[in-house]
Amino acid sequence: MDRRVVALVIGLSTVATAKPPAAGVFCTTYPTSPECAGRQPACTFCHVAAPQRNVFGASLEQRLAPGAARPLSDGDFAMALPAALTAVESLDADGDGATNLSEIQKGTLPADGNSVPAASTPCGSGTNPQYEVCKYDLRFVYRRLLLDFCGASPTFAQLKTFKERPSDDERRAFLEVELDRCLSSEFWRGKNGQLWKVAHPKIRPVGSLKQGEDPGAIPLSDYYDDYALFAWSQTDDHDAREVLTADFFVRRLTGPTRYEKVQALASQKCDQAHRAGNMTTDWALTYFVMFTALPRNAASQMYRAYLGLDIAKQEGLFAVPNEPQDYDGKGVQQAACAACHATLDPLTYPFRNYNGISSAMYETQYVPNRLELGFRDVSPRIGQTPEAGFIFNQRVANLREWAQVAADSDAFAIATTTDYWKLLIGHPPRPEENAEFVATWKRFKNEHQHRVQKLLHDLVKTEAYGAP
Amino acid sequence: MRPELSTVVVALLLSACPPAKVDPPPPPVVMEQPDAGGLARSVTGNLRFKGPERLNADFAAALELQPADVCKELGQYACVGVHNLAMGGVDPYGPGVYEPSPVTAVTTPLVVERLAWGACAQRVDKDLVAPSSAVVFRGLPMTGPRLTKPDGAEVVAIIGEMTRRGLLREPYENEVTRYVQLAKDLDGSGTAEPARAWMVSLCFAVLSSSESVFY
Repeated sequence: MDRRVVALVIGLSTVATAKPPAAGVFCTTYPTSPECAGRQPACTFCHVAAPQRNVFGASLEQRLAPGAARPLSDGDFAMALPAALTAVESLDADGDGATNLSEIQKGTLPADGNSVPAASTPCGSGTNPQYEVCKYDLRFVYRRLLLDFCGASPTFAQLKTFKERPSDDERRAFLEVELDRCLSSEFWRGKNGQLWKVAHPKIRPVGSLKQGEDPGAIPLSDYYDDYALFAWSQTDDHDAREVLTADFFVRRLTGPTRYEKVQALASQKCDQAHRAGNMTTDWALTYFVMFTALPRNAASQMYRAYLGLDIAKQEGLFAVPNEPQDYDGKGVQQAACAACHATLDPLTYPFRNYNGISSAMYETQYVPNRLELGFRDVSPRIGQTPEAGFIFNQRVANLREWAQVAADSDAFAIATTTDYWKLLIGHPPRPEENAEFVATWKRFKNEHQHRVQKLLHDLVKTEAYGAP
Repeated sequence: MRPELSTVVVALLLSACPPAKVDPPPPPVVMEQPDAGGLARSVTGNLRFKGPERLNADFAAALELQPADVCKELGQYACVGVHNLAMGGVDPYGPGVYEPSPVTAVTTPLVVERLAWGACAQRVDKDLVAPSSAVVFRGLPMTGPRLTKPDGAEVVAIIGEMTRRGLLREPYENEVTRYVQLAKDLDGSGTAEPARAWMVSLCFAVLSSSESVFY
């Protein structure tokens, strides 16, 4: 393997128990693997929990620099990994009947016997009076589109009229119009509509803490503002990235539901210069920062919710050299912890001055020197926590830069597309759908400049959506 | 004439007129049953369950009921609200269920049938109480509580109407045969209201079918 490539992927790391170069080296070896389309495989591709290996990882280890003293340095590891990968290509680590190489190429997991590439079943002969199976069926799409976006089936008469349109082109044009109509419906964008359903796992509301409309028993914060910004960013000609980067707020008007951009809301306290969309709302700081000094929960939740990377599942690990520093004295430098915290801690540093509800003196807003003012007793080094951090191994000076890097990333485009793939097709992209999925998220990011409305128009045209 | 007497005369004249006859639905264009051996089958088999909101909306539309009235527990609480989670819904604010369950609950089929049965019984009773304004079960000749002709053209027309409303297509031959046979069986079963039983059963069979509940 080219030493220059090795140098690129490992940087200036010191010896560590985790092997952060692994994912990058894997993707350099197999650039067309679905695991590498805009992302990297999670550590669980080879590990149970790093450094413990699964069956695939164990078979690799036997062939990894045999005879060399352990632990291997990151450099030696990165040099040896490609040969080890090649050596196990023809084997079947999980005994599911598919070789390791086949699983890597098709996007299934070589360490999971339940994850098997689907046998490509050719469409059989025969007729079907109701569906055009094995190909895009416009009538099927019409019914599905109205159910997905408007919330109800067409009538018999409407289906008949659709079928009687003069040509497929006219039917397709009609579907575009219907989709736009339904994207304005209350079912799609209204309170507790489909967009709100996409937002629930990101915002994670707690009814008992709700302030304002529909108040709870302990009214602390109004998360409807978060839903409003989310819905606004996913509708019309709006840039979806503003869910992370917005320095404004959005309020919801009713009768019918509309979302309106505003510069100030009585329920929001963060000053404009330090706002970062739904990461710095009153609810986000109340719930995800809450009483903590170093809010790892806030950082990991945003990473999971908006970038689709769950550190708890060892996804999206980009270990930063000389981390974790453990400024708050939580013991995260231990071997079992550092595998994740080498990514998580520097991801969290830019949140250091965003206050939760730890103090009656400071509200949920940006407070310069927050840790020095309110958390002196946490640990002797707490005040040394920098505001600069790292995301995807890229240094960022503050949370607004963090938000911009995150929003511009492939991970954001993939996560947004995956959200709607799951909502509308019913499951995350399957290996046999990978080609269409990759094309869709790349168009969303590049051609469509992060407009969800255009993403949805693309998505309903895929075979994954429209072939019964 | 005094106004009261003129009103009485008009009422007497009107009472001599026969009730307005509601036409039955148009007869179905019965489709030939495809040969199972020659049927082209889906490769992906990606069916999706409609869930609480869509199922409620579709049942309401098919039977021309208000969505809030499709089904109520204890006469007060919307069934889709009470059984929301069992039907694949979410409940983020209270119990913190942010995403639908990835598995079907044991009670899900029961709730779907509850919803279908409740909606069907409502529509049938409305149409029987006011036949002149019947919406679905219209134009059916009845002799007391029985269908006058369980295998008549009007029964076949109702089968077609229910299939069009519930499944958005015309019925197959075997569906017509099956539901006509059901009408005959119920007529001979000794049940107190065989016509009503047939109407509710037909509606229930269509709306609770896989074709209706999934998409």
